[in-house]
Amino acid sequence: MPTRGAPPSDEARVQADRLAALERRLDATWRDRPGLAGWFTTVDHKRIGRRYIVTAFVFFVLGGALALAMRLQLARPESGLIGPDCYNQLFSMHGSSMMFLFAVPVMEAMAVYLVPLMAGTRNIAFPRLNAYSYWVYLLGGVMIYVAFALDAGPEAGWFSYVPLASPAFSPGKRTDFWAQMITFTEVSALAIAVELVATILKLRAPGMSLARMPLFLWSMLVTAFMILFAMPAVMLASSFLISDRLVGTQFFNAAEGGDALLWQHLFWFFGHPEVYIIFLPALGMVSAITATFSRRPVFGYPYMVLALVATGFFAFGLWVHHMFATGLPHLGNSFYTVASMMIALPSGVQIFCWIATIGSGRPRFATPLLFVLGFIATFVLGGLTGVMAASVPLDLQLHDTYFIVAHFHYVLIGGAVFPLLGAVYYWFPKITGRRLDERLGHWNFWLFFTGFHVTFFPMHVVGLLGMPRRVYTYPAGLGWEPWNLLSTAGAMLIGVSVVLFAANVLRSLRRGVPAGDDPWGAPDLEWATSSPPPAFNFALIPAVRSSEPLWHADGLSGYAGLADDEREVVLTTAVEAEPRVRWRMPGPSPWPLFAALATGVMFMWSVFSPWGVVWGSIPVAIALTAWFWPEPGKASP
Amino acid sequence: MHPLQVFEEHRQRFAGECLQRLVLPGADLPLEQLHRLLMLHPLPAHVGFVEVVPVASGEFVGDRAALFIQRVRHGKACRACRRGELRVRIGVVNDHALAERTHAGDASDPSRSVVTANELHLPVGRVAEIELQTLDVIHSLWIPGLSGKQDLVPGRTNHLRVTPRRTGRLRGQCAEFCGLQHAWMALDVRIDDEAGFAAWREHQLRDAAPPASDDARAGAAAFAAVACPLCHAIRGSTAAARTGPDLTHLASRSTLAAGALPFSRATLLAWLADPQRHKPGAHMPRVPLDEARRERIVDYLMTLD
Repeated sequence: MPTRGAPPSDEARVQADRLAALERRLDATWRDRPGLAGWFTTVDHKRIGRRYIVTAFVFFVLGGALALAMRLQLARPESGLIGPDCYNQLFSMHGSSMMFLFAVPVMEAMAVYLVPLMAGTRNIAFPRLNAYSYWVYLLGGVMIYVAFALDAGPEAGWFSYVPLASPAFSPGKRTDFWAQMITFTEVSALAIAVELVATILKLRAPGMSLARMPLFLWSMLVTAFMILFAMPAVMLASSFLISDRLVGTQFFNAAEGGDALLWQHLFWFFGHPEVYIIFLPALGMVSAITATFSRRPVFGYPYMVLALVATGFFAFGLWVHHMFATGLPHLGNSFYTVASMMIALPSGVQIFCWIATIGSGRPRFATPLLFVLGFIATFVLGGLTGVMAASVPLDLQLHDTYFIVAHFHYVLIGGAVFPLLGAVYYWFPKITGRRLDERLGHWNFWLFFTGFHVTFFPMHVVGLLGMPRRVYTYPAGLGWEPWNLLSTAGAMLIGVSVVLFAANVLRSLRRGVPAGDDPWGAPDLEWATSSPPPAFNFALIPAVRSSEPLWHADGLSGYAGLADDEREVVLTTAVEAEPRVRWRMPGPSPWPLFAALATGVMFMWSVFSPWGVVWGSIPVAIALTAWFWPEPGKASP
Repeated sequence: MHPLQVFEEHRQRFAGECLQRLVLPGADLPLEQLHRLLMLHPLPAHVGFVEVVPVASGEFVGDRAALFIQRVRHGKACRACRRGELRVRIGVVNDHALAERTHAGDASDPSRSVVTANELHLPVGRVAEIELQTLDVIHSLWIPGLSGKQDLVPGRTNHLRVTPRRTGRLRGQCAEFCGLQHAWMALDVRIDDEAGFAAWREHQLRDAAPPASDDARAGAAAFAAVACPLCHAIRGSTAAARTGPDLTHLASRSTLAAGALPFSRATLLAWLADPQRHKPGAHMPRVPLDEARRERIVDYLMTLD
């Protein structure tokens, strides 16, 4: 570990030479195979993380383009630009893309890149599973967009309520592709959740006890556990749906003793925690950015952690607030009202902690902090409308109107996309070694902020005026026209801002200012290595003695003792992070890719025939066997 | 009696019935104030638990005597809705227990029930108990100016209780995405005074009058000779199919195709010429008719008021 400001002495020079030699040996051990083979076989969390982030942003842009098309259609009443069938596919694809292919994956992707660096280890736990999860995700996303391009995109919304999505009312393969896309993305999300839990609990650098863990790691830990509990519900639901559609089961058919509301319960038991699965990682990003740019630790660390954990628990107790109008017992509804209002408390605690951090720190208003401020303003508004909608009587008016569209874009874009863009500005130097352009960044932020509010604030009004969601057009003369036109204009501004963002990224990749190891003066471990980090992340495993290791002169030193000719990492205890075991990590392998391809074939085949599951599982079993085959002379991967 | 006393009395008797209002007794108020503040929809004079009280009176809860049943069917608009009809059975009840009894027989007497399409008539100042059932997908009945929404879920019967407080015309619509033409699934809601409502109902109960003019008679013959009676019913004629909306009082309605078009002779002609142009995915097919025949059929339909 290069110590800062160390006087150049003979001893230091000898140490530096030793370090350089160690780095060469580690590089030889951890480096990917060269060329295309390396590209397909890599298990490096940084490489896979970068890929994941870029792919998720591609889906963000695609989903955004669909939204722009919808806004054009809704700009004026009774517009004939887009027909009802196309429009229904557009909003179904927009919702599915943004939720399943962008929001959840991009947060996990950031975690795949950052968590091992922040935890001070050399790779993510189960690195081959990580590679597998990316390929599965990519296949699912490509499949649904190919289906969409072939006019077989989903038509029943991202929520696919039955019976509208049942074989009787959604003939053809459209809904099957949607349901299989869910299966793809959920498999990949569950895989990453397992990796993150294992990485955060077992691979933290020695000394990084839970009480010293960065808030981003806390938020990812809570998120990963939430994924483990929420995703099985939707996989169950989509499997029921597929078997209703494919093999004639009647889980959701009321006429045969099934229940249409079963779908809604299962879907929202996943769907509401999903919102927090997107939102909690963003909170971690906000905490990291706030601390760095306020130049002080986040105020009220224990309360922040408790708020994250509380949010994780409460999030599973609110799903019925999506179903207040379905005729469930009133008494039950009021419990969900209470739970929905209660979850505002931990969010409020965190908001106040960040405000206190900024207020009592020495803030530097660079682009990442601007995005954090935009997040606070926007998210608080979204939270307030959320508390409004939690009340049953009010919700019965607001439910399924544009007011709700406004509300959840305030919490999802305000709560997740603002922090995410801030996070890209913040960590881009670490990932690429170059900084994003600050002037373009300011333009990017202000256009996005203005565009966002011009787009979504009018939706509150038009919702109160009675405009329902998911309509491909609306009659003139109800007072909705000016608000819709305004929303469309705002959406164009957001589009310009995203183009600016992409331009900034592409330009800075080649011509950005070189960043150095730690351009922001940040406290966390990812800034203790070079930018971009070497394949092995850290030459010496950091030993952590403080919550902000880089801000304390004695906060950090290095551990030697791991093999440099094997992919070894150190396993530590879950709570205190005391070093326990040297553990060999598996190396590059083509089999995760083959396993993912086999899984993809199985899932896609089963869209057309139930036999796809039977015959398709054989190649999957072969690929998995090869994946886990012990390498000669070495311990099992 | 002070409203709170009334409330307390009924709370003790029928705690389960109005438990939601009990748990959140004031929760209705922000909506009203918000709406007043924004001067949006005309709302009933008072919402909240006090209004529920007469509904929850013992006689009513114990014996839900319905004055009449009104079935509202939408215009076969959604492609998704091919299987059947969206049926909103509406039982209107009186808040005077004695008056209910005098009409109690109606609920079980099909000859006294009225079937409309895409319109809903309610008498002012009386509690309406709307029974919500669907035979196809999930819909949601929402009349923003009257009340919150309530879903229609297959296999379940949901209830919505409203008390219109002033006469007039309101727009209702489906609030749950229900397929291709969810956007055009609107409901024309008329709140009449007691006399107007009774007159409307008596009128709706009558069969269609036989066509008087030559053109209308020619139209009736043409109507019976082409595909129309395969789907539609006109009481008083031989057409009795239940697949499409009942046309017995078509000309008394103010919209066509669940709000997609205003009702007039010209729009009816245009609709018959090509329904798919005006509402893509509507269940109504384009029936090949020459210009003259179409004109005669429309002459006939315009007499069905």
